[in-house]
Amino acid sequence: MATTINADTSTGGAVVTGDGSGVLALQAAGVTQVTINSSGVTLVTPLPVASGGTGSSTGLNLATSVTGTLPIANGGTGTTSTTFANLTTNVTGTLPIANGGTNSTATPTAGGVVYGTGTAQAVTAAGTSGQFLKSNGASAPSWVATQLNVWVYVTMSAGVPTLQNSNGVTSISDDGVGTFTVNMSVTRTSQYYATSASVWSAAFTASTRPESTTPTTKFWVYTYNTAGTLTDPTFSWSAMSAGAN
Amino acid sequence: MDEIVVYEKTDGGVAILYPAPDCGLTLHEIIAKDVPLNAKYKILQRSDIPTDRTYRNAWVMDFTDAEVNA
Repeated sequence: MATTINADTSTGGAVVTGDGSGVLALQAAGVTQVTINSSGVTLVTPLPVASGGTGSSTGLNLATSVTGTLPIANGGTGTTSTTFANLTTNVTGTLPIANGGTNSTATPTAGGVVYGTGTAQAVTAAGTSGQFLKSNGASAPSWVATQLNVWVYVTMSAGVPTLQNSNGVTSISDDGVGTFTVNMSVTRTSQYYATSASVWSAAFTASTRPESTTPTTKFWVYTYNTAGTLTDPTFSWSAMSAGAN
Repeated sequence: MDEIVVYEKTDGGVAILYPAPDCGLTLHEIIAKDVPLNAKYKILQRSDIPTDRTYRNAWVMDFTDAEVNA
């Protein structure tokens, strides 16, 4: 039979322990279940979940103490899935830029270039091999053929050339008296180009000869004396080739 | 580059190839690109080239043991 302790207003509401310890122990069938002292209340066994407790003496155990699905509104995922979000089944639509997306479903074309439209990411078509990307301001960039400009400046000493400076040239060849080959670093595929040469020797002249067909990676330079005979330049010569690639 | 390449011209005689500095290619890459296919060649130093060019067009080269730009 349970014992009821009532606060007696005549004694100021105090419960007086018999042994004077100031500790009140509540027992059931001879086993202490609750101890109350000046520090507070101690339960011998944890307060069960059904009574508003945790059922645990070590705090809340998410694996054993929590069941059910925490809804998204409460900071949960709304699912019992062990993955937070499945991009294939849980996500639809286009992720906006503000959320770290592309705001686009553009296909990443092989060889295309990703660019911004101002509101989304987009992809250009693939260019043709050898083309370069051209800016069109705020519009989409485009692929264009290149203008291939090649030049070389060569000084001469005792007939031996020294390649002083160049652009788009990998080497020159001394093919014989007054005859040189200029080897370009890239392949010229268009026939719409011109070649020219100059020689810094008084009364000397220079001419060039392009390859008769394209594609080509070279052209020739010839230097002549006043008699029109092939002659090595005395000081220096330069040559260039310009036009569409 | 002080190294130059002497190669056998297809129409006879020899050509002397001077690599462009800082063109981004190694000497052997330049050889592969600029020396005619199947031409014999040797790598020499600039100082090996005669400065007397009186008979330049008649120059010949002993290409024994030469490499071939295959």
